[in-house]
Amino acid sequence: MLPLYYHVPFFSIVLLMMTGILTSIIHSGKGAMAFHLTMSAFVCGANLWLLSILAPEGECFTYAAGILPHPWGNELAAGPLQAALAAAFAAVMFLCVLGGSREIFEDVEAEKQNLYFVMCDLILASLMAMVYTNDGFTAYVFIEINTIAACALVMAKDTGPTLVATIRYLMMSLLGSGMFLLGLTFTYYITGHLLLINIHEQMEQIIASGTYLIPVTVIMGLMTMGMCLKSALFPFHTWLPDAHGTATTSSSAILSGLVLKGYIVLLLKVIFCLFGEANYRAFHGGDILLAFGFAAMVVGSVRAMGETHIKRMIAYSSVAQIGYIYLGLGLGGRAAAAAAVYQILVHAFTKPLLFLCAGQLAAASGHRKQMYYLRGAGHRARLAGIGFTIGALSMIGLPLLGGFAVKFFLADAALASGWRMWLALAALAISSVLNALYYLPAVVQIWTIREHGEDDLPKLPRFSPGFAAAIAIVALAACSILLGIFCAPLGKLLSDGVALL
Amino acid sequence: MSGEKFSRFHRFAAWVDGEEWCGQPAASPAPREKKPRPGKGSSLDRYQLYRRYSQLVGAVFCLTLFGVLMATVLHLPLFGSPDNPTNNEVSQRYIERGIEETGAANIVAGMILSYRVFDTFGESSVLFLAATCVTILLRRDHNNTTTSDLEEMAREDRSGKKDRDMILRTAVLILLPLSALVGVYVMLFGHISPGGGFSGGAILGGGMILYAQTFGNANVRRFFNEHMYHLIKVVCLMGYGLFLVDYVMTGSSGLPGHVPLGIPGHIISAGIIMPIDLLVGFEVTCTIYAFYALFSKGEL
Repeated sequence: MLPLYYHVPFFSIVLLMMTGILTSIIHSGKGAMAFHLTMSAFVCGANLWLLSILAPEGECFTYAAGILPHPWGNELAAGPLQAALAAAFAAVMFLCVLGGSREIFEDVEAEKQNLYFVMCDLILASLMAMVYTNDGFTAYVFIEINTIAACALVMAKDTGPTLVATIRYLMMSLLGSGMFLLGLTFTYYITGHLLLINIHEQMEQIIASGTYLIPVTVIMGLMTMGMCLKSALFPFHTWLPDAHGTATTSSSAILSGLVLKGYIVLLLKVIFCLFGEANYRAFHGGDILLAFGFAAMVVGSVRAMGETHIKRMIAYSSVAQIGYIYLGLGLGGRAAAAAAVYQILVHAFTKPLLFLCAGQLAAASGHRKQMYYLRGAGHRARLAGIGFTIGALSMIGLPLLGGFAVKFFLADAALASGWRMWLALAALAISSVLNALYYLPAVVQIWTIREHGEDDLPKLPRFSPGFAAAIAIVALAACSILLGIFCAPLGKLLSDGVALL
Repeated sequence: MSGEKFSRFHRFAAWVDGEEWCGQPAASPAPREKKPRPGKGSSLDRYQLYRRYSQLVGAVFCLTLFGVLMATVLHLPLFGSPDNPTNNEVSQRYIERGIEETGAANIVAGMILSYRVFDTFGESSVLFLAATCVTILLRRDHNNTTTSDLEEMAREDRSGKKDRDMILRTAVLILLPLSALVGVYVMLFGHISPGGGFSGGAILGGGMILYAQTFGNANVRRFFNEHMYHLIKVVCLMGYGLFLVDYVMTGSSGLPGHVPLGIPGHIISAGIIMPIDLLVGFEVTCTIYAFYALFSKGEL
């Protein structure tokens, strides 16, 4: 008999999928939400339990999802890194749904509200599968699930702009899935395997012997480009601001906090478990990611400066923050990859915080999202104002907050990487200044007291955040701060986890 | 000089206020009669610029991808050659021991519903997910339907009831039992001969669409309404999920499965494959018909 904790990865995935299936017949939206929240809390707890078992010893295991292990059947692989990511994703999903619940019930048609939570369940299930899978084709199947469900989250607020944004998102996202599938097909054809462990063995031999070099290069290009398209790396970010800026608050938070990250985790697995990091770097995959990460950090911030719509500004900031992750992946080495994973966690907690708070600030300003109307919104919605400030300062990289820890880890990892050090340090410096240039004005704006009669805006009443949203904002802000304060032990956990991949 | 600096500061201050971006020229009202240069100015010009170049960029992208993929294919191992990397211990075991381990005479069914049953559960959920998305988008609500739409649909229903083609009706009445029979056969024999849940369900669903086209959705609703749809869909998928959980729990622990494999070639054989084929088949039937009904009428 296997120990009980071996079953946690498989059950996390299957339980969430079954939750989604059952939720489709719960007629009340509130009931569906309660079911979703219970299950994601349960899955989060189970994965934390798994983490507490795996982390001290640095244990890893594979789990045959069927009668045979690799290379014949589906398989899952778990280690401290996977468990930590899975627990964090489940926690963020829980908080995103809780924090945006009021907007969900306002924005989504009453008889279709339960279906919104079906999508949330399936997105979380697919994220779990992407984190835990050891099988290329399972990864593809769950990419598909993730793609469709993410588009449905944008579409759920049934207005003209969201439909247009959904179409653009769907097209770009499907192009990305298609590229990944083509890459996987070629991989199968030259290695004869679908499980990452076996592909990796064959890949080493193929690259050492020098046969099939062109297919290997193309596979690398297709898989990397597919995942970059889906995680909105510059220059493939054009779909992101519309999709994240127009959707309902929870959807924006889930899309930028979680959905983008799932694909990056998968790319991390492709680099480390499918090709092997040394091989990936030998084909200059790392340098390309580094260059585009750098460009994303600058361009995302510059475009964010040009936005006066607060949600679109935060969405463009995601483009820049995704650039940090790719910078870490591109620098190469265990420390840089661990910094990239740290950024995945920090961004997963901070960006939903910003979106939730921005939603509340806009609601406190008569549902207008232009910066101009948000003046003094922090005084009308105190908690959202404080949350927004913490999130913005973390994104800028103020010490004791998560964003600072990431920049510190990235700079630390860059010191050991030769000429790339200069590029990385320049990117960090430029990007920090640019981040400050658009987040600080926004923070100043929401805390500026408006004298009566100073402008033509009507006097607005105080805004009550609601109990659920208050819990979500406090929890997300606390996580952003904790990620900054306890960066040393957490960084070590992730670094050990990356080494075990 | 100082005047320009002053105005820049003002623009910066205005940007801090969230009114405009300092990188853009100040929003002075442009004289109307001046014709803007193509590519700049109004959104209409930008749209035309987009129209002009998007096709070019798209064509270049597609041709490049086409070239790269063709070049790759030329460097792949020759199709069907015996010493290809795909002819390895994986396919060897599937072929040599597939029947013994899965009980399915159809090796493909053995692969997708036994060795890789977890993936296939994902694929079935994709279908469920797609149907749910279509429901979110197309099911009639006050947001996507007007009263004229409703009137038009009622008129179509009335005219449909009046003049039904006798030849069509007779032909459908003959064809329908046959299509149902073939559909159920393909599902039931999926583990023995080519077929399975997905193909059988598609045939059965096609038969239902034919019936709905000829006799109207109202007639279908007498035996298959929205309530029924949800019931079948959830029972089938949950059934599949429970079979999967049992199979994986025992399999991963190295125990024999609870469902006996039986004698390969018999209808009741192949362990979980036959029941899962049936469950998937009925789920696909529901989904195919739901797609049709939602796309045509916006309701089941």
